[in-house]
Amino acid sequence: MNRYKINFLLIVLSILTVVSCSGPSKSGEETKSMEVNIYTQRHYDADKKAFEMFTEKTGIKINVVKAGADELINKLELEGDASPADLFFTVDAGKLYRAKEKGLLQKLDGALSADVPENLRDEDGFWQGVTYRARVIAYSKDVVTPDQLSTYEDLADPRWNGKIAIRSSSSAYNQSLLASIINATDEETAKSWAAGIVANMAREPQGGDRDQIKAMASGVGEVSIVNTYYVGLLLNSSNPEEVKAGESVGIFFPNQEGRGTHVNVSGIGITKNAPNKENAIKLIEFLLSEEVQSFFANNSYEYPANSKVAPAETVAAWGDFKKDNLLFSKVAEHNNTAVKIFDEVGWK
Amino acid sequence: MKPVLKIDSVSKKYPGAKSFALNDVSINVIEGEILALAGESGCGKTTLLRSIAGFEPIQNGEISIDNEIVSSTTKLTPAEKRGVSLVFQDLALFPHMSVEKNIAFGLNKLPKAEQQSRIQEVLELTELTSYAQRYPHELSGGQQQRVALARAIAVKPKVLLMDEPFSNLDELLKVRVRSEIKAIIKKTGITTVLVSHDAQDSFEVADRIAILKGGVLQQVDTSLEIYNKPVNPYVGRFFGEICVLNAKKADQQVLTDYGSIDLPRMNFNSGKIAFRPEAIKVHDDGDLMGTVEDIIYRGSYTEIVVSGPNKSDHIHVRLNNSTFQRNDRINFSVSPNDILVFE
Amino acid sequence: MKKFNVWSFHISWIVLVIGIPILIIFSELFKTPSDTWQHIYETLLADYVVNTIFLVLGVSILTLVFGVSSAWIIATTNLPFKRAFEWLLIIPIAIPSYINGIAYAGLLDYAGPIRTFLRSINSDNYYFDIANAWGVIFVMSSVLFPYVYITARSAFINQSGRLLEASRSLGSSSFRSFYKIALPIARPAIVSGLMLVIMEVLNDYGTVKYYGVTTFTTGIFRSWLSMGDLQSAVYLSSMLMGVVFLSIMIERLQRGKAKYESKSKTELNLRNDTGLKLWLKVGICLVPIILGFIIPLLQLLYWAFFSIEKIITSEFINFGINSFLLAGGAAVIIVSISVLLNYSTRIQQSKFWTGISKISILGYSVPGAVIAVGIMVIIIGIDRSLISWLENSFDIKIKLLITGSIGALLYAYLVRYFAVGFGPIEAGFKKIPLSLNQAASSLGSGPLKNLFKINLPLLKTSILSALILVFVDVMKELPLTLILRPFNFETLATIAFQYANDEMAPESAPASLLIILIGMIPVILLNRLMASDETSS
Repeated sequence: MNRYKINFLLIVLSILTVVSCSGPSKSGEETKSMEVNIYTQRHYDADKKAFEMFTEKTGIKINVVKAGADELINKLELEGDASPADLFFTVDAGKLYRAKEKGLLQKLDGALSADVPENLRDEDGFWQGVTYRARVIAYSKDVVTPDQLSTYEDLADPRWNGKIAIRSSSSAYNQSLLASIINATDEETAKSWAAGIVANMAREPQGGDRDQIKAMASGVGEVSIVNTYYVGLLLNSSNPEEVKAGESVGIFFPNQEGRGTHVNVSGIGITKNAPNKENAIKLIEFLLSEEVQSFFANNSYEYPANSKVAPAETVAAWGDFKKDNLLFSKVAEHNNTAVKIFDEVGWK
Repeated sequence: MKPVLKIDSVSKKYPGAKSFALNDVSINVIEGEILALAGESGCGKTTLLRSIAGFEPIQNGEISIDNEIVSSTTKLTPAEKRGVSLVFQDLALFPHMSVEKNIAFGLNKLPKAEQQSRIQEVLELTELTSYAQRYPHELSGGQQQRVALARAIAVKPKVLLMDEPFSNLDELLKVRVRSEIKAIIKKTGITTVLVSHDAQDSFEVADRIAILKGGVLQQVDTSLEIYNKPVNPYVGRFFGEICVLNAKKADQQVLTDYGSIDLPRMNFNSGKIAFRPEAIKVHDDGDLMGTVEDIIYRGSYTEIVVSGPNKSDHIHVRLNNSTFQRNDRINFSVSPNDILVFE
Repeated sequence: MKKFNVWSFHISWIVLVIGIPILIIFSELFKTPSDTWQHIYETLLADYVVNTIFLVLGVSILTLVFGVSSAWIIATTNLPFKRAFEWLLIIPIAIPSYINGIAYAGLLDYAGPIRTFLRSINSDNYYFDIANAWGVIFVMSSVLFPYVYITARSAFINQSGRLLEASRSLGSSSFRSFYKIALPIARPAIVSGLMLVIMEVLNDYGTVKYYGVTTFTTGIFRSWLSMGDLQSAVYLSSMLMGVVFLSIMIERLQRGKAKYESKSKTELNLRNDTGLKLWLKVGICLVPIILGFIIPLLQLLYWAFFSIEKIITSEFINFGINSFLLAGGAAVIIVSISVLLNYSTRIQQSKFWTGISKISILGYSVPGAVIAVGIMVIIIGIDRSLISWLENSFDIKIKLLITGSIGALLYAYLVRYFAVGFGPIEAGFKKIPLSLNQAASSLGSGPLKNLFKINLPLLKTSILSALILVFVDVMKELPLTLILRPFNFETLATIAFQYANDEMAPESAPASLLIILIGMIPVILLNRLMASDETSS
């Protein structure tokens, strides 16, 4: 019997040692909290620098966990009221909607910025857009002229047969685009549009948005649907050959005559049980300040959510455009239908 | 009789070794003969066997099978093209194959029907028919031995090689397996070379025995000749007990520690004489004399250890009934005809 | 089933600790699936299954060709630079499959060196397409074959040389001897390596996603990430696990009565080939090294050339240290527990307990992100009950203690990579005759002394190869690290991923290179130890 006890004791001891060496830093409840914890889906260097700027300015330390949005949602759910997270930051409004629906967020109230247009935040005030990207048509300058382009819908026309390079339907950006089409029309129309795009594909979907542009530079496909953000990155790449690929395409904002170009919002919300809510609000305010917004605009080639701030030069050069002002809750609502349509029409 | 296997002045040295593993060895093995390679461990017998099999290159000389050179200084016919099959000491039965599959292994180039009849034939010959579907680890030691033999003879080799074929068997089993295997080999008429460190194995199974020492061939002959006329004490000692005495010639006699013996025909000055224990006759008026050192009961006989005045060169005398006590004096004689003389 | 004793106690706690997250996932198989599952079943499943089978078959064949042929040559022939070949044939596993995928795609894409060069000499615009199922098979096989190589090599080296000689003396060519004798006898070892390869193929998401090939794992993530239906994702994962468990069992049954252990252990004579034959063999060993190491390495170096100044900061050393310590810690923990588990089943000598112990290796068969779900349920569950217990009993208020700790991360690696350490240790124990332990026991040595004095010294080679494999695997691990890591914690893999995920391949190259570099150190060191051990025994 003795041996069992000793064995058990050893196991318990070893677990405790491992744990005690590495517990998270403790913050006293009584003293004023000087930190804020954030779960983010964004892996950008620009964010890291922005967070450093915040700490420098306020002395509040930012603790970050970066992972996939759905993994983080799962983590928040399991942690429940014990969660250390204060903020949830994503690149796609759909994920924020998912978190909100699961009751993981709280209303922002005071943290909502007046400078951010209403269509860039949750209609119930649970989250706030920080940046956005337009989902535009990129075309090969050699073979396509802008006057041949008009709308997303037009790309389903058989005259584009064998000319479209586009990424997989597992991309959240393609899903929300289709969701916006479902919302603007109906499921049937959206389905025939998706089927039309599949029929016009130059190759099976593969790679990311950048790869579509590089494919067009190689002569595979003449038009593509991409996020402005990736074109910006390509044009500012350290590899001159990538810059060349970026320069070979033109940017066209579709549906300007109608509902406007589809946009994705990268947004942030405060978690239900945020232990450092005050600091979280401070951080959101900081992220939306003109200083940081212009920093984001120039470093990640996203459009700043703050309407007072101008986009980066590269981005501004593509011109102003009309945004599709559809409610994000609608996009999220239609998301699963969109995925099912993609599967039914065989958009991989 | 034509030689199937010719070993001609073969020498071999392992890389990095100081001395030769085989030094100028020549033996011919004739068709249907069973030759045993014998000698103490490290004498080169296994090296010779493996050289014949084609697993070791040789540095000098030639080995030919059916008049075709298979090993020479410049040539090393691969093992698989020699028409030689080797039964390994550890048997090397393929553990993942049944008995039948093991036997069929070397027959893959034959038509299916012929394979089957050959398998049946050797299974019957080795009395393994009812074990055909078993796996090696499900068989007894003697059965495994027969599988290894069956597998080797199924391919009808020009020469069958066996490396210490009986060393894994216990004494009782060994006696049976030895005679079984000899019968099987003789029935097939395959020329065979086997290696054994056990004199009894060689005596019983082989037609002729080749004795090696330090890579040098000492003697090749029938068992009877080797037993009775060993060319040196090493060979003599290898096949049963032998008494070796230092001796000096004096007139018509040789002088030993135990006294002198009449040896008029012998023509040597000093060296060794030797005789088998059974040549010793104990009687009170024997010319030779010694002291009883020890008495060992061996069941069917009693062995008496005798020493001379110089306490060297012990002699072992076998008696059916003995009344000797320790330190008794003992007189005996040896017939000159039974005495071997080594220079 | 034998009576419950200290050894069955060990088996129980190890299997429980490792198995609970797996069982949480597995239990989903018995629940009613949701609508999403219905949709996937109707529209996609057939396609997923066909693609997955195709990939598994393709990668299996190619890794067997690469791994077994090179292992055979290394085990039987004296090659020039043999020492270097030995570790170069292992090192490709240090390259994560998805990084290899990105490297090859980058090599062949518009901005890659090949086409940039072709454009510079010729205005024609060539286009190579590697992003398809064949491409996935190629890029995965070229970095996964070492799993087969390692196990096959040690199986070949440990085989009795006499069996091959017996085969040749029965008239078989050396090739026939290889595929009729050496290969079948090495089969259990090769299969255990291949099993790891297959599980890697099944759990891969990064490569197939980038190459646009839809597999069963695509289905798992489609239902979770795209449709927000975690339950369906877990359900699909449990199916995957079931298939893996079944195939392990089928393979064992299929071996039947045949034994693969030969009692005699005599050394193989190394062949000294010359001329064409030698160079052919060198070529056969070089091909997988070039494809799985040299080419991706050069592409990463090419990228790093553009980004190194921007990316390498002083923090990089810390990321490297984090990676190294985590991988080293996980390797030691996993290998120790593997030894204890295998030793317990060895002493127990019961089919029941051996079967139970196999549950512990299933964590490798499903995507890391899914196994993370099961792990988080446990960790956070323990944490929360600890919180409420302390609060209710002692009025002490604490936060989540285990969640977000290095301990939790190590536990997750244990669950996920146990199979990687378990395989070599299991194979190593099989080579030690039971009679050795019995002999030691009869000399009055207790089971613990037996383990340390008899088994561990004989297991040295197996322990070393298990350490290398786990180390390198944890170095490149991603999904578990991402979700379970402490705040502000980065490893080289997370840094590499952060850029690769954002389509910034050049920026991700320095971290990938460092992963390979750090992975190389133990591979070279341990391979040296293994080589000296193999030749001396």
